[in-house]
Amino acid sequence: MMGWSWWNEVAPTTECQRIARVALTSVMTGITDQSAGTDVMNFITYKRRLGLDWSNRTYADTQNLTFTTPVISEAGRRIDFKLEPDPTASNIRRYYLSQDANGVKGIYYQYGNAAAQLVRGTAGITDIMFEAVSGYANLIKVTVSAQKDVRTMRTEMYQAAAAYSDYVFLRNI
Amino acid sequence: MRMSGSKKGFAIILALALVTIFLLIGSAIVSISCGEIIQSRNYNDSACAYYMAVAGAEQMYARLRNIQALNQTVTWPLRPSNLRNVSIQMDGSTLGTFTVTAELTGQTDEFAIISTGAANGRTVTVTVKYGYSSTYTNGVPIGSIGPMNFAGRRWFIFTSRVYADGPIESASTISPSVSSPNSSPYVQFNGDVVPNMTDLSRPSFWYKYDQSTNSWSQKAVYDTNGDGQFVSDIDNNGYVDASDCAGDPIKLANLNIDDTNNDGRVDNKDAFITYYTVELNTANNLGINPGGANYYSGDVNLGPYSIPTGVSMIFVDGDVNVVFNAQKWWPAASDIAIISTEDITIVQPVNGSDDRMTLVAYNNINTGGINLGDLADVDGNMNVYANNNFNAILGGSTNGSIMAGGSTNVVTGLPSFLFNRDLNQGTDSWSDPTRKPVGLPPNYPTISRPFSIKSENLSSTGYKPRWQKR
Repeated sequence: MMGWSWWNEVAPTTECQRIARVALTSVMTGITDQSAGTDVMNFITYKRRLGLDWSNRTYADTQNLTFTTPVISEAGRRIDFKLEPDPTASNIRRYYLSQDANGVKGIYYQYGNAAAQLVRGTAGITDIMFEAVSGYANLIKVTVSAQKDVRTMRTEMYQAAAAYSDYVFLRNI
Repeated sequence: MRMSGSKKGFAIILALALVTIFLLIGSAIVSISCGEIIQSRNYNDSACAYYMAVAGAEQMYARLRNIQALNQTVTWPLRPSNLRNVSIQMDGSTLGTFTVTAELTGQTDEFAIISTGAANGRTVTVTVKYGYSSTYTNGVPIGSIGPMNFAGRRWFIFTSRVYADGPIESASTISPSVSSPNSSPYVQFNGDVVPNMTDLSRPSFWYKYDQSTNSWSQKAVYDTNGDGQFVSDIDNNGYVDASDCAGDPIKLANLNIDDTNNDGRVDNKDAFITYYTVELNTANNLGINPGGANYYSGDVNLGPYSIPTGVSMIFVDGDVNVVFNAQKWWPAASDIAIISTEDITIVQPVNGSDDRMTLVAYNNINTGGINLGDLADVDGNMNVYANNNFNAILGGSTNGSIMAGGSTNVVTGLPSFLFNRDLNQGTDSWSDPTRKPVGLPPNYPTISRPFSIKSENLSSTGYKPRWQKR
């Protein structure tokens, strides 16, 4: 009984923390993918990752503190960005907050006009926020939060929550 | 009660069935347990190999920060011999090993640390990309795997000096090892002189180009055509021939296929020829394949304008002599690479400030001429790779990078200022990788100086490293 109560009270908090951390690293780092381009070093090809880290700015953006690339929209819930092999004309990759038919929120990734995919492990998230950082043309702050209602026999219902934020460095060349 | 005769032995059958069932259950439990143990050991080994790789990456980063702090020159690729197969011990037992290198990525002002960790046969590779800045990036001004020898001359009041921009790097000895010593006052160095350098490695030509994926990869040594079938060097004499085949007809057939120049052996020269005439030719459509417009068989003498306009590279299966070249390769800017399977000898290398000449020879490269300023010098760049020796006699002035797989000998000739020999650093910047001459071999050493890793702090110029497991 004691173990059962402990599990019901601790597991939701751990789960919130897990979802928030997975979401943050997924958005920032991503997975290795051919579409993100490759590096050839010593004639060995290494795939790059498709995360937001090291995404491109236009030349004008590197000279100004107020950048226009990547584009943050939908009240900070969506970011459109480009990686090194992407065309310069438009932002063709995006991460954004959305929900499925059951109302379960998650982070979705879309490349060009391909079908959007739920980023694995992020279902159940509550919110994500992309923000430009005042005075810095090379930083984007990402904040992820996850909340869960906890119902136990010993206490009133309450919310377990976790929120993490980190900074994405854009490609600074 | 006495059992009837037809039920005799039933207990034994029942016992045997039960024993069989117990044995099956037991063996299943043992099998599952062993599987779990093996699986968890594999996982532990992979995790251990990953942390070995991370440890290697951190060590290389510390090495680079030290180079930055001491304001030294980085020579790319950076492959310190004391960061190769480094074993990490704990409580007397070896946990694993790592090997780490640092290479340019091909992106502007970007390098990567590549670290491979190994534990119990499992390997994991980690790459970490960093931004860097450097006021000067080019080929190594003068480098050689073998010994270097510089000698100036004096005749009464006339002197013929040797001047060389550094860093001057050799995996062997350098004589003299300092600028203008008493024993050799007419040799002047400007920059670091680094003898016995352990990081300097000879470029290799065992690389192949895949047209379908537009990518390069390393071939196994002696597998000239990259088909995965090749003969191993059993007697360990640096090449493979019929004696390594032991009469095996399949091995002999593979030997013949990989023997590009039909000299009965497969060696680095076959790799050299194949690298240019097949791999690089396919990648860049240069017409230097046998029978191609820019493929020359036998010795060739070149003079002014003997290479047609618009040709970027010629391949000569023989010696090349540039017998007279006192005429600049202009009015148009020219960018010419001359590749020879034997020697290249240039009596008087001359070009204009907008020109670039790349010389690559499987054997020796010899230069000699007169130092006459704008009239008869290399005002542009001349980048040289001699797989064997580089020899400079008489005078002249060249800008660019010189690398020899063998020895380097720079000796001025007759005693007069006309025969001063100036070896200046290159004037074009390879910070933009597209400026690197295409004819230079893979892993040609390049330098960055002074070198600094872009700041990682939370600032408007911050540049965070990019880690990834391969």
